[in-house]
Amino acid sequence: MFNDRELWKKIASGDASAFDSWYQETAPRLRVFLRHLLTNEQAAEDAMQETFTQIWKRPQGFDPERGSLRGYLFGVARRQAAEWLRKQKPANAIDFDLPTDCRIETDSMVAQVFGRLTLEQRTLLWLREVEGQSYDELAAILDIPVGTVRSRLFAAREALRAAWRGSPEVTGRSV
Amino acid sequence: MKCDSVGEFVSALCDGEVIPRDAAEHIGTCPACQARLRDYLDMGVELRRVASLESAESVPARDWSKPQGRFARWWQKGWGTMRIPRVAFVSMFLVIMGLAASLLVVKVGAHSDGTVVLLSTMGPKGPLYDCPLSTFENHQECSWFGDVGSQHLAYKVEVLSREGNRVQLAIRTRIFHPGDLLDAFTRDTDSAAVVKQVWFEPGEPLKFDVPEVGAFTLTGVWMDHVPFNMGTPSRDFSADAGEIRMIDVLLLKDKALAGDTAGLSDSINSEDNPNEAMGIYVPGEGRFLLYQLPMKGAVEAYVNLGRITFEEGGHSWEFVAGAPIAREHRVWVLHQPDFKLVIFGRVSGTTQFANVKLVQSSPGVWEPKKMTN
Repeated sequence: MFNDRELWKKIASGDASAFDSWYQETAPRLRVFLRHLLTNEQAAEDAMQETFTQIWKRPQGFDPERGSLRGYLFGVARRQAAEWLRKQKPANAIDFDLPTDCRIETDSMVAQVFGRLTLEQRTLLWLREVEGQSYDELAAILDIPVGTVRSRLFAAREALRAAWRGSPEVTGRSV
Repeated sequence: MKCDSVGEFVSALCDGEVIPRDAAEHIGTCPACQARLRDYLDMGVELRRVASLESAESVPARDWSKPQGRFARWWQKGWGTMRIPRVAFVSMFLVIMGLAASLLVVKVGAHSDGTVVLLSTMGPKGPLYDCPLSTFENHQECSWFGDVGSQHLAYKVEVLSREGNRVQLAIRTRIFHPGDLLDAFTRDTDSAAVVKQVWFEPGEPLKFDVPEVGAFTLTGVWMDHVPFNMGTPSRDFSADAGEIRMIDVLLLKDKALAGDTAGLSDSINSEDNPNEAMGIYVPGEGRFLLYQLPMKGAVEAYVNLGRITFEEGGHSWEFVAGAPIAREHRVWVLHQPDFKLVIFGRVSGTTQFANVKLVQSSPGVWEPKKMTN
């Protein structure tokens, strides 16, 4: 088990074996993150692969002084997701709702309405609740001040709560 | 204390943060806030449960010692973001995506660290077109539609990847006949298209045959920026090194028009004034500071010719300018939503430039020297 600095020294020197171990360890969770960001299985797979390819080819992009390797990984993935979403938008698109036919199939109502949040809200909530990223790490990933993280997390939780409580499928259920 | 003012602290409580005493006391006695807290906790638990179920799936093995085969994924995607009107084919005019018709070449050599490869295609009847493709971003491409001899040809070149001084290209060709539609070709889903995947090294001509048309030759050079010329080869419209140039700018917020400099233009150059950031004041939206280096609280933005795109504050933003903005592909944008530009004691009601000096508050951290609001 290496710390970030030791691991990155190996990766930056072209140690494919070290990078592959890191890929095997982190890729499954990254793919789930991207799946819920993009709500599109193939796009998530592509973005996940592109993320690792980009990091492998540009090891100078990570600076251990600026944050954790894990945070850097999710930050690169978030930009890949944003780029993919940007390219999917028709030139005259106005609303940012995702098409309903690419929502993830799951038995979880929370996970289903999660896709209605903005990209930033999905990123913040997922990285905080699932990946356990600290406020400092979230600030670095999203390039926002630490103080802003708290207010945006609140806004994201409120948006998810409203979507969850307000979704027709939930109405009348005891949840 | 009201529930609305405590909401943010309920959220912070979920994250293990210490909150003010009066907020904690209110939450302890307020059923509504406690219900909100339970919902937040339930949502977190549910997201982690879903993640646990999905994270068990393994990922495909990859060989990191070899160039990755991205072509299959590129093909599968069939992404159809580009749309070419059929009239373009009928009219047989030349189309180069995102670029002007002629290019001024500023070479940096076949063996260099340039990020842009300028491709030139020679067909059996003469030159087809020049196409600069950035290797900084994935899937840059150029398309051409027109007559070659007696055939109607559609031709597209896309950069798939880069390895050292060479690039991996996907070359797509398709002969069209009256009544054929271009849509599938432009979306990369045309099964009748001939697709070649090749490695190309600028400086080494590449020859290939297009069935029914003849022999083609691809040549190229590396460049340090995407060249741009408005059809007059003697005039280069590229931004200078270190320059951020904004000519006749529109600001789009979530794809809707939010600001318009109405003909005003501005330029800064880090080589002349390294501490100056470009400011664009938009009534109702505040000020946007643009700089080549990270500023405190700024977001990274993507520059592509005359556009700067970024996300900030839950919105998508896009500056659209009348000419290429910078040679760099990245700038940093600091949005100051509460800023108000005051001129002679009155808040300005028009979009205009309002540049500022920056200072380094700590090594590598830049911020505006003085906030005027």
